[in-house]
Amino acid sequence: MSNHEHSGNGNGVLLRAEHLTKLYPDGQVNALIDVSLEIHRGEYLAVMGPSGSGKSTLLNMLGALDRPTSGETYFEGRPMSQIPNWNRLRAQKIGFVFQSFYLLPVLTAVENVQVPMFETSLPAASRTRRAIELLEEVGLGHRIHHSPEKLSVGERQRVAIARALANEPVILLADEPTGNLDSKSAVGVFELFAALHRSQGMTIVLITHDEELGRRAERIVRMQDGQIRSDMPSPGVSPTRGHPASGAPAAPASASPVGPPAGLRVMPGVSSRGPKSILPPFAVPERG
Amino acid sequence: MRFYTFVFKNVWRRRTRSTLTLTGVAAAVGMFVTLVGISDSLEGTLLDLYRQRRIDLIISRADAVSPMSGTLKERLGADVAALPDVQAVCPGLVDFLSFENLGINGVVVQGWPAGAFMFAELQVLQGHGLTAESRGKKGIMLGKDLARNAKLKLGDRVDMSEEQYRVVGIYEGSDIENSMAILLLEDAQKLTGKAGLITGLTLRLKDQSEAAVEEVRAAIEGPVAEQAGEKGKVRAKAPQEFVNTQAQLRMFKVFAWAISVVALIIGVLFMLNTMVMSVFERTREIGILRAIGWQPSRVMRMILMESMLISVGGAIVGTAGGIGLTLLLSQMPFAKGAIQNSVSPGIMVKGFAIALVVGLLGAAYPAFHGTRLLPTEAIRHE
Repeated sequence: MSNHEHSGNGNGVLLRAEHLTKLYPDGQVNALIDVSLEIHRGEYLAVMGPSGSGKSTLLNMLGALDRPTSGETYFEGRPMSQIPNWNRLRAQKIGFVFQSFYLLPVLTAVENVQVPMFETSLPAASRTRRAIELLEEVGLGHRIHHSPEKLSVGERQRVAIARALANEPVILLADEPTGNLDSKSAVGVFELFAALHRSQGMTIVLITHDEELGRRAERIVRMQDGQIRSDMPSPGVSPTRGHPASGAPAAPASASPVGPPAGLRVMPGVSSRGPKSILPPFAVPERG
Repeated sequence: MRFYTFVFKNVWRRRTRSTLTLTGVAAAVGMFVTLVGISDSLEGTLLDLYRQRRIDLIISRADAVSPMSGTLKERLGADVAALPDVQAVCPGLVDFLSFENLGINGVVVQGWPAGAFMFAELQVLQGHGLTAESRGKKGIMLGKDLARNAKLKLGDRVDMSEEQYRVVGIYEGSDIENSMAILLLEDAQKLTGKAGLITGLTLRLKDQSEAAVEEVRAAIEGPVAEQAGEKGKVRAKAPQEFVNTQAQLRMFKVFAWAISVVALIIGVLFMLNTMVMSVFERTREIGILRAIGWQPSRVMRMILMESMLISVGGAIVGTAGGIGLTLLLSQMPFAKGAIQNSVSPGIMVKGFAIALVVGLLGAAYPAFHGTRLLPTEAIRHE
């Protein structure tokens, strides 16, 4: 049974932050001030704002990496303060993508993807098989045995995304995932997110500085000085899953206007995968 | 990928440091296996001698610290032999003598009376044994290893205490005996200036049951000693007890263990240094592992297994090295006969146990530190 519980319209609340405040004791800095936010299943949300606006702090709270000074976060309706094992929550439900990829240099691509799977009961052979499938799905089927240093930065980030998907999370949290990428690789990574969201209904929250790329999300939350300044649908993008900010009903995944741009192809052979397949076909950049 | 593959890759990633640490652990284990192995070997060799000769009791002076120190009156032998449960008695005088004409010092020389049962246990390879007919003929028997190392053969002259003796026989006995020389008791007494004295008695009893041995022991230490005018000065011990109470062996054992403990501490510090560096260098990496859901226990397991991998490698290399060194030492002329040319499985098991202790102690703090890392802070770590 997959962790994914998104329904057809997928508009149930997955994450709800209520009056989150984070005060760092060392500098007496208010990183977050009374932030409330709802994230629905299947939403694709970009958090934008200048440095020090509290974006990463908010992401850490939503991802069970840090505790608020006050306020509460509800994950699938449960108050996080009452969830005893946040490690398990992160391992089973949340996928993280970091700006600097943070792949383990000693492991190959396929091994890096398996690292989160140690926290599951999957046997070694199944872990390897699944990691290969995931790498194929992010367009790196031909690079599975390469170490990170032999991969381009864009490829490294795809490996990191495959790693984030390893345990079938219900939400993907990405902190400046394109911050270290050239523009072409950045577009590729964003298309990967879009494809994941569109075809699988993956809930995605990403932090970005890039205005243009941020607009590819359905909803944009803008932060400044630890507070949410605006929360609205992305201009020009119709929501695929519907969210309260838009007031629009859930739309079918195929209705997304974010299709594969020129230069992207649909993974060959993906559609023929068996029922165990995790990801539907989605666009990956052409190589060369 | 299996978890231990990941662990192995982490260790292999810093192969120079890992190899150096492994070498440190190997040195500690090798030192233990060699020193404690030799210590046990010395005890074992002595014990084997008594067991092979079917000795049930060894009588020596109560305050003697070694088989060569402390003397008893020779007449005690006859009194002990008169006890009904005693099957055979061999009075002995053991001491160091020098082969003056050959410049060889410190040869262990044993004196037994003609006809003593201990002679029957020796296999004469060349020449003949020492019997009643040998009295006054100044004959000496040499163990085969002593003869070979001293390059002595039948008929060769050996000067001891300014007396000239001739090699009349070369024998093979136990490992210890093969490196010794044997004289008639009266000759040994004369050469060592201990006329009428012995250093001990070895006994075979008719009944080896614990009760019977205890009865004889009590009789010897009590009425027999008193009758011989040695009241309170005689101790009768079973071979195991006798070996265990040898001061020189005990001192060597303490020395061996003391050095091993120091080596162990150095090994732990080596490992601690390596693992602390390894964990601190990987702070961010461990933070990522925690962020993607690894339980603290898995981080701890990873660090402990890395340490264990190095330790077990060190144990294998160290044990092999220790066995090699023991074999080498056992072939050295000065050690031949005293050190067995094998290491007991028990010592090897202890060597591995020591390596695991080194691994655990050396990794305990780094592993604990690793589990305490907060993902958000670890990821920010530069």
